[in-house]
Amino acid sequence: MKVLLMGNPNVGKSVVFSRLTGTSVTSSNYAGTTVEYKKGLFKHNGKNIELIDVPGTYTLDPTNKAEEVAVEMLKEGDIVYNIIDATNLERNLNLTLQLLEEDIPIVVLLNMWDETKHKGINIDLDKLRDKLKVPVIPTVATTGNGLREALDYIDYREIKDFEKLTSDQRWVEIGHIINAVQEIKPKHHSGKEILEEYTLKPWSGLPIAAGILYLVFIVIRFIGEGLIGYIAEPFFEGPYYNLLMSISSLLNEGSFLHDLFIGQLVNGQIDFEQSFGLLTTGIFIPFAAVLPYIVSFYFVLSILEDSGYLPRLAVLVDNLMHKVGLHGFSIIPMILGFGCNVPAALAARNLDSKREQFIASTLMSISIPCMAQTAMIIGLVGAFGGIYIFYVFASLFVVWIIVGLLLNYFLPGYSSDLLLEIPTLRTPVFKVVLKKLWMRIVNFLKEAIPFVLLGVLAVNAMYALGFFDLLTRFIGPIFAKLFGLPKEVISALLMGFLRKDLAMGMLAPLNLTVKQLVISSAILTVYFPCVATFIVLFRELGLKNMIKSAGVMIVSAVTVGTILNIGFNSIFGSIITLFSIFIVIMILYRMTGKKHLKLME
Amino acid sequence: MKNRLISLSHLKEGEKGIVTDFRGGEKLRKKLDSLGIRKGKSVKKISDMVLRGPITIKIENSSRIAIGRGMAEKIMVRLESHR
Repeated sequence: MKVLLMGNPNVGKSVVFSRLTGTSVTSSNYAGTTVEYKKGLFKHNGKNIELIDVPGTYTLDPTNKAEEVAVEMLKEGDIVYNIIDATNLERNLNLTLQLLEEDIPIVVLLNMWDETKHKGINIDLDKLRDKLKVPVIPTVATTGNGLREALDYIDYREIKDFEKLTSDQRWVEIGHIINAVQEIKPKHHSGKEILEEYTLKPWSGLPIAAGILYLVFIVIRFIGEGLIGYIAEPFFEGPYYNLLMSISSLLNEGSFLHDLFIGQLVNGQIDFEQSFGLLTTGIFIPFAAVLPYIVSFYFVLSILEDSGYLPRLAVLVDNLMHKVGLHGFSIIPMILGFGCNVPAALAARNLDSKREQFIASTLMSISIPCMAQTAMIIGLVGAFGGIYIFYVFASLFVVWIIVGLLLNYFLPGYSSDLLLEIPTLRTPVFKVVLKKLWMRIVNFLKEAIPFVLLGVLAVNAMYALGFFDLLTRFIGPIFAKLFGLPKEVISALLMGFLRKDLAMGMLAPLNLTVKQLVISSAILTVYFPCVATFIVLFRELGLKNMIKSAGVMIVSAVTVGTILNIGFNSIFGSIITLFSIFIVIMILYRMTGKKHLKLME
Repeated sequence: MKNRLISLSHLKEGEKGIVTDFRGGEKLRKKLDSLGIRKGKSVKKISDMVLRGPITIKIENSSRIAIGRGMAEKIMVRLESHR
């Protein structure tokens, strides 16, 4: 039996979903679309129930892709559990009345029932049942109250006859219902409401956002490093190492199988970072180096999501994002990128258009260093002083802006205006956060690990074919001239294709000056994403757009390397550089502004 | 008496207005309608992002909606007098 959970966004639908289902939940794309939905299985009175968390929708007269999918899904369900926000009855009833007009049994869950009292809202349940002619159950999803009663109606199959109304007629009807069932005693602004509004006003909202983001990164690093130090490393350097060493002696060093699975021994030992076998580096990178940060990152992100803060962040950065052809909500893939570029490239598919997806993925892979790389930049460049870390990140931000302005100007079309409901701030429910975390980790493992293994294979093959030597010989001289870097740096760049933090590590023994380190760090971030991200981009964007995106990356890397080299040469060079960057940004800013105006007409 | 129509983007922070007209197509009206912004509704502006960023409004003490500047300019309201 298929049960559909439907309702407006931010009414607690996902919380109901998490409460009702166990661990057998999956998240997938609706056939032929990029719209994601969640599906879970559970047993009720001996029957197998398939519960579907339909994307949030305000209306059945679709205004976007997610709503189109919701309407499609309606045809497949046996019953709809329509979840509505009791504190916002009027708008929520719009969808309810539309659902009642359809040929499908409806049960209404009046969620957030507990909050109605605080807000001075009084709803007469019997009158509401009488008006809607269907079961109406008050629920508090965060505590699970009322969900048991809701399940009692799972076999409810009555379809009431409602005539089809026009939009205006429906609002009139809703007005009648509201007048009959709801009473509101006006209340003063509560402290929470005042705080909520402060997060949206520029002069208070921006500092709050900066503080929250700072805290987020501190916590992510803390948990990530804890997981690596106390779980991942002890396991890999202990039992797993011993296991691999015995496999290694079984296979004989130098044999084909040894090369494939174990790779090269370093001083007779397996080096998880340099051996490049499928079982050594191929397993170590995704599980020991990346996964702990992914777990920690997604944990913090899920808390941030469930607290209702993210839409506020989207509002605060909307106009900056508009300048680069995106809108506020594209901040999500950007933030994700700081954790790992792979899930970020995947998240870009949820944006409104192909254009936004292309711009967001390209900008993200160009200027957002992942967690592992950031840690290495801080370690290596930071040793010379914090100001140099600032140089690296400032350069990356400038690249982000300029490339974004250019893409926005040259790609046809423009970004749509933001239109977004801002939910109230809530305390996340721990169980729901954990379930979300679990789903994300499973998805990450399924999607990223094959790519990393493929990447290890690819690098092995390129080494064997002498491809890297050839590249070093050709690019070396260009490097020295343009970037002022010794040609040994190239091997680090090639390594960066596989793993950026390791590549940073290869710079350490080269005795580079701090100027060379800043330049290499910037180039290493910009020139190419790691192979796992690269493959995801290829899959998400298609070959043609991937090549375009890669072209943008290479051109940007060469430009930023050269400019930094000039800018660092002398004070005179720095002033000229800063000045020209400023002029370029101003010109591009005006150009995109004019283009936007032209398109609006 | 302030009876003339102004666009939502010209409303000041904290001011209230009654939605009176949409200077846009049917698609815009439909989108806003589904979010509860329609003619006759009283809205209060709670924030106006710097540098022509989005505007956040509160609809009759229920939901808060953020609207991009371009869209907000097409929503006309009649200023409500202060109490």
